[in-house]
Amino acid sequence: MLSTRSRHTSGGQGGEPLGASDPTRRATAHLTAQRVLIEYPKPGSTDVTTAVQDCDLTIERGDFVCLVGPSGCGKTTLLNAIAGFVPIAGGTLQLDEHDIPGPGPDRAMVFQQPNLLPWRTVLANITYGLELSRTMKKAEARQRATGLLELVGLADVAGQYPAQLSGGMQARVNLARALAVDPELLLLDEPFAAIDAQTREVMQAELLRICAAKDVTAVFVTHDINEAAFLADRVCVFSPRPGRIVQEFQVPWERPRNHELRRTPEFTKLCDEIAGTLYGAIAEAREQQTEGSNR
Amino acid sequence: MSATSSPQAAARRQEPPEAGHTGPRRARAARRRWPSWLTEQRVVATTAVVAALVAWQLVALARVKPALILPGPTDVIGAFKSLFSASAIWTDLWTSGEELLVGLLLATVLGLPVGLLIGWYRRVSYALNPFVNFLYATPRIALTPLLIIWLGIGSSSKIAIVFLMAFFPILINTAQGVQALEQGAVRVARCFGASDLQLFSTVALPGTVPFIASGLRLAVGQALIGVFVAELSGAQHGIGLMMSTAGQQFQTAKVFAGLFIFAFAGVSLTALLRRVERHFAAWRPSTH
Repeated sequence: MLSTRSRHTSGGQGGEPLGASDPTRRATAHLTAQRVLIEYPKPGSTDVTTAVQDCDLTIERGDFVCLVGPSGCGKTTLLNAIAGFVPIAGGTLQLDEHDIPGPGPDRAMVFQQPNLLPWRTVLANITYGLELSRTMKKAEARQRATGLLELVGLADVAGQYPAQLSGGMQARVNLARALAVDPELLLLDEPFAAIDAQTREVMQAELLRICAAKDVTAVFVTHDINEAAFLADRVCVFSPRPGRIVQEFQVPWERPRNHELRRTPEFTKLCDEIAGTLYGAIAEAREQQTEGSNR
Repeated sequence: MSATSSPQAAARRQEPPEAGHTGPRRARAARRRWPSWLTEQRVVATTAVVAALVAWQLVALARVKPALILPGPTDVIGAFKSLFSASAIWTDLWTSGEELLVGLLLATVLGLPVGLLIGWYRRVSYALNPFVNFLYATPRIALTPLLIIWLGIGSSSKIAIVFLMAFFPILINTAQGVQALEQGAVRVARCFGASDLQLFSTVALPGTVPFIASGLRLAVGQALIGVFVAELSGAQHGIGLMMSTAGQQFQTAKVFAGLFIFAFAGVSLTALLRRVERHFAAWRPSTH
């Protein structure tokens, strides 16, 4: 099949990449994906579904990258591959120039569902990752967890159980738990999708503040263009399945950002452009599909 | 009408103070406070039990049936007195108690790990399910004659029956608990690089505790059935045997006494387990 690649890196938005102005961040790419191919078996047959194909992505330390795309495009699959849950079938996917062996404490995942352990208090949920890796004394872990709870604004509920918390509070605990293991790469899979719209906006600003405080490198999967543009240094737009990145947008504003940004015409323009690319890619894929079936 | 002496006012005072009390009424309630253990639930429950006992006594006193057929509560108390004045009752209690507790303990010690394995490993469940289904569907009490042939009429055959009765509720509940585990929690643990053993001890076991506890409560009821029936079909000592002997001799009050001993054992074991359950399940959103 002829692959029609229409990929222009740094799509004319905001000029130079943010990392370029900062020499400490330029050293080597933290994560590199080249022509990544991910397949999974179709249930009940020997066929495979191609989830991700010819996907290229480079992430520097300190980057905040958002992956947006139509649902089922393979963006979460790519995230799972980076986390080490899913093996790749082709191409290279390297972290600091080493292949990814499997799940590890250097990458922490924040899922859409908070998935807190209901029999543990908030504090014990946050120390959970540290307990598993056994790298830290109990008192030290508790101390770090207390600090993180303060960072996410939940210092007063440390002793409560998850069932007693609101959805937004659970999302904060979820984030704090991932940060507790001090990951090199924070992987977020639509972490705010299940939260109401108002809390979501608050959480987005909170996330930027926390990332600035902890100097986190993050990959954030979302289907919400506005969210992606508000959070990211770069927004990578996926094509429909089999997913690849059709265009990257540089987001020019310094992080952390505040809510006024959402009301500026520049922000709206960027969102429109991202949406244009996204829907263009969807239309193109549909055309190809009809062509293929006519032939 | 004076409110302080009316029965309605007294009943109202039993309610918790938050239940919509207005200022002056609350002030009046505070003047004559009831002790904290005297909850509405306890008062009503105790009244109902006392009423039932009184009704029973009245029916017995009316002598619709002779005392030989239907003894009253006072006759049963008399039977208890005569039972505990002899030494045989202690042997019976000890024998039945040992059968019950050893059987239950064995069922727990074996049923828990096997249940966890069945719930955790699909292959283990494939291999063991035919046996579990067969034994669960069979009235296991029907194995009593077989076990008595194999193990004799001593305690060991009774323990085996109690074990068989109690084993399956524990096993099946535990396996169900593991299978009902939140997969999200398992993914989180895996993501943090948990080993199988860590996954087991930090996710599978604590998540299964409520299921295990209800399995244990069911097991107590089944075990008591096991003790009684096993002793009926051949024993040297035991409360069940004592009851059946008394029944054959028309010592009806003594039969009632045995019945109450069984009931007491069941109720106190269940209450104990409920307490344990509550201790472990503090994290659950409270339902009462």
